[in-house]
Amino acid sequence: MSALSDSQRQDLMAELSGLRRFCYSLTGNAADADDLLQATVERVLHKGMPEDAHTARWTYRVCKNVWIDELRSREVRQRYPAMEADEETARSADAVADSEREIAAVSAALGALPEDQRLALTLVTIDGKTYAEAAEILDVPVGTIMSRIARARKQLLQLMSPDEPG
Amino acid sequence: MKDKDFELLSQHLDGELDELSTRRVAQRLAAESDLRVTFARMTAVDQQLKRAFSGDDKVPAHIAAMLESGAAGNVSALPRPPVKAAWHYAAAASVAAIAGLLVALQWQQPGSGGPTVAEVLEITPSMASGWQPLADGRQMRPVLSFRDVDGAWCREYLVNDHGKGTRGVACRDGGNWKTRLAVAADIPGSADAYRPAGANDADAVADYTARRADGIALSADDEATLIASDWQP
Repeated sequence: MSALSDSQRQDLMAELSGLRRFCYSLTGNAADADDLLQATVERVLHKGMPEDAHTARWTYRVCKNVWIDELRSREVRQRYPAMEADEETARSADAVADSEREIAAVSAALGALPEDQRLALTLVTIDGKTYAEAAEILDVPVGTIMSRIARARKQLLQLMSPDEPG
Repeated sequence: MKDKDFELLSQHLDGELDELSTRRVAQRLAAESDLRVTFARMTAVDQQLKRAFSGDDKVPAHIAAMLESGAAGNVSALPRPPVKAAWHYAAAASVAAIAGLLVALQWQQPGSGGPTVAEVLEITPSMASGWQPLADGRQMRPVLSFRDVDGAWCREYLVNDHGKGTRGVACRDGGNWKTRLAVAADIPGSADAYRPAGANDADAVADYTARRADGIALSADDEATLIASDWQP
């Protein structure tokens, strides 16, 4: 496998914004998202990719693997510090605008999902991938993506509206 | 609700059903209030997710530079930018010209493979981004909901007809949605969407809403509650 060709680099450049969003949804904060994006790009530049690989799908898979490696190596257990609603953060939460509060609530709920469900939901809902594209990136059957997303949404409804029937 | 129904609604929301299944789900949504409530809540959570993460695609310059140069590790990391609010909604898309065209709102289109404008207005929460595909190939998004001074529930919406935009206001009347105003409009995010509004541009929809809204637009929660109760407060 050789370094990236010019066309692969251009394709990857066009995917960077979506990849950054994917990184954010995985890590839950901007700083870690930037680190993950940088590590992903570095790995792709170092290791290259097959000539016939679909650049976007290949890179998303690399990104997912880099993040999993990161979690394993650091034994990161809490990726969403905002979920730890200690007194200080609770007070500051009261002071933020409604939209920021909503973002914090959504991020916390997303962070509470099992990893496989969050990845599938993120790719489809936030990044706009089809089930088939998400299945290829995550290397699972399309039916698995469908059921993971449905389970994720069901849990999100329960987390975000616990008093209502799901 | 059965897991199968949940999966069905989820696939419907993602546009992953075939034409026949889409039509069947649309029929069930029209007939089953439980299903409609769950779909409305599911759609609302989806929109919250999109809003929460829509601003998180800013690529740091040093990473783009690293990729452009093709040399990993040769670029010094720049100071991280401060964390910013993720979601910005440019509410003021300028209206290009009043065209006076009306959007035909039909309750059902037999044989169609997706929802009509009226069906989307009935059950879909307002969206800051993204599109709901329509049966006729166009796309639309409800933008906001408000109560008219005459007591009717009204919704501002945006229709994207293959890049040609129409912004309008429709109000619920006797269980049907009737358009009260529709004008040609820029599509937010299109090439000319952020040009400054010129002196001849008339933001007729914004004027209409400001003049006719009885109070401020509904919050997402209030809107979801109203949708779940079939617009009966």
